[in-house]
Amino acid sequence: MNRYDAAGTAHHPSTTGPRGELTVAWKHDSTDWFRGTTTPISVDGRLYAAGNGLLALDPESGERLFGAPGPYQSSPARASASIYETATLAVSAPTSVFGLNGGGGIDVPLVEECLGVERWTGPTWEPGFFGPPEPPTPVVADGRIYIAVPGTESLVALDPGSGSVDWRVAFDTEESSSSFQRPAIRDGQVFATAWPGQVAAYRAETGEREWSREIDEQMVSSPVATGAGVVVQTREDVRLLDAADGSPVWTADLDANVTDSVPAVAEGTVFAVDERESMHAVDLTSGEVLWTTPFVGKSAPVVADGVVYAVRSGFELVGIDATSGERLFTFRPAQVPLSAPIVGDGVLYAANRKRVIALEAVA
Amino acid sequence: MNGDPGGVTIVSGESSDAQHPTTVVSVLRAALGEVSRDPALVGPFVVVGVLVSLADWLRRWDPIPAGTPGWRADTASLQYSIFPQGVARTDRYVGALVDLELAYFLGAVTLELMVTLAIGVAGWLTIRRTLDADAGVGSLGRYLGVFAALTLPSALVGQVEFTPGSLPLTLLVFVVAALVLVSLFPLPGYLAAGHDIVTALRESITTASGKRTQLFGLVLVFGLGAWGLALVPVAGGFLSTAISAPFQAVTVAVVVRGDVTENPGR
Repeated sequence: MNRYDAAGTAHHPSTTGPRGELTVAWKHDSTDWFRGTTTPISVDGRLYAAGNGLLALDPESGERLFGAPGPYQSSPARASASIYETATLAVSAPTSVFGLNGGGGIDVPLVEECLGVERWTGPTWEPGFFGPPEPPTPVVADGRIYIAVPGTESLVALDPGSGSVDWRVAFDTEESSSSFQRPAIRDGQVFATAWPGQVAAYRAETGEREWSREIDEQMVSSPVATGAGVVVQTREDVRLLDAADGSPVWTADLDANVTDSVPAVAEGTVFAVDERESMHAVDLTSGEVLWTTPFVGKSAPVVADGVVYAVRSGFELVGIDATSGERLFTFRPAQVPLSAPIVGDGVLYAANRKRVIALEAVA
Repeated sequence: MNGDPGGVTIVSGESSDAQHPTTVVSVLRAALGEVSRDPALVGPFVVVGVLVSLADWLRRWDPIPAGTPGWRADTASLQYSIFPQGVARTDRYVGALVDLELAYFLGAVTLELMVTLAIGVAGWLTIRRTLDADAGVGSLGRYLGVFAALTLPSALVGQVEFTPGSLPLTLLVFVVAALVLVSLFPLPGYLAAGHDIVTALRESITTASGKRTQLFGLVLVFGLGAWGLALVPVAGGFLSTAISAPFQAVTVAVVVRGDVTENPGR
């Protein structure tokens, strides 16, 4: 799923990615309706990418396995549904959440279309005054789908089989007037944040609120749940909060100006950009800044096998050594925007506007 | 005039219309008169209304995805069906059935088939009784076959929704859709009377050709009526099936019989 796991660490712990200069291993650009800006996922031997529809590709070759045009935009999240033989893919559109058939439904001969891809339509919402909100990213944990519902400013837990709402929570009206961010789930707790500085924890089973905190900041990113606590990035700093009660453990002031970035956490280190001119590595236990390296732009980095992969404002992919902060490579695709990548067996996969690409190290 | 294999004589076509000038109100009065004289005409659809409500409840209760039809959020909606039926408050499209575990699949398909079959039989019984026709199993088979052929596509891909793009295109689509609906309005009646499909289709078009305005008014009445009744919380599926559907069925029979006059008490 987006950010690799339900906790939102963006750490791929058991795979390796390229460490040197990149080249395009394959590209899929033959599906004319595809317009992708969100991170694909790799699961069940398939690469799924959303963007004006859902594409399923062979990760080895980029060959299209099936495709279904539709309003789907967000990164998908895979969930098992006990009543179905195939998994459900949760994906959101500008005004709704959908449950799609991960197997692609029934092939219709001659027209390269699939029948019955859409299993259910979940919660819907109205476009705001300034247009439809950014489609929220679904997260799957322990047999449930968790997703923010813009418009109603709530967070829901959905049944993967039927799309029915198991529970719904919202910040109190006076506390927040904005949508939840992507939630993070770990050890039976759902951590949620909302503008301008709301952070809360709920029981994953029931939705009961365990604690709620208001951070005196102008912005708070999607949370990252770790064994040490909950990592959140605010406008100017990165913080670790105690998972039990939300109390602050440490704050690392990065002199940042963050509006859209999300940190990654791997091997006890937090990787965060400041949206000014640097990326920082921060020790998860102490909050000490381990290294700082030049990096201009917004980013939601991912980490695998000691390499931080970060896309700068959607136009350039940068590889950085996780230990030293040394820049290993840069790659500029022919099209923009480029989504944050996922890592798999020496290859990076990303959605890149009209195409999906696989990147590998130059031999 | 057509000789009917089931034994009922039907006056149809432009001559009937010329001899018996009719309006929407007079047709509805005639249908109401039929129901007043024979209240048992609403019986089949009352039973089916209970089944439709039960199906609504089951779709919400079971773990298989069920949707809320888009018309429930519309300001106004024309829920007209060529074959008399009510409007369920839930729906279930083919995507919810694909790759289901076998037991769930069989249960879901059985439910949908039972409801569809019951609606079809109720329509056939109601029209046949109104026409006092003696049509047999062959007639029922043809009625159900055409009903399924018209119903199945929307069950597979969902209801057809049209979003106007330009005024000329909107008008064109509106005129074509109205012509089709009006031309096929009497079709269930001819099928229930025992005609084969081709003949029923031809007679339906012939009958409609002289009274398009009147039939279009009936399409609006039944389409809006079914929608309005279906909006009633909880009981909407039952009400639209038990009230709108039998009156549409009787009205179809009245139109097919072609003996409507301005005097409903004849």
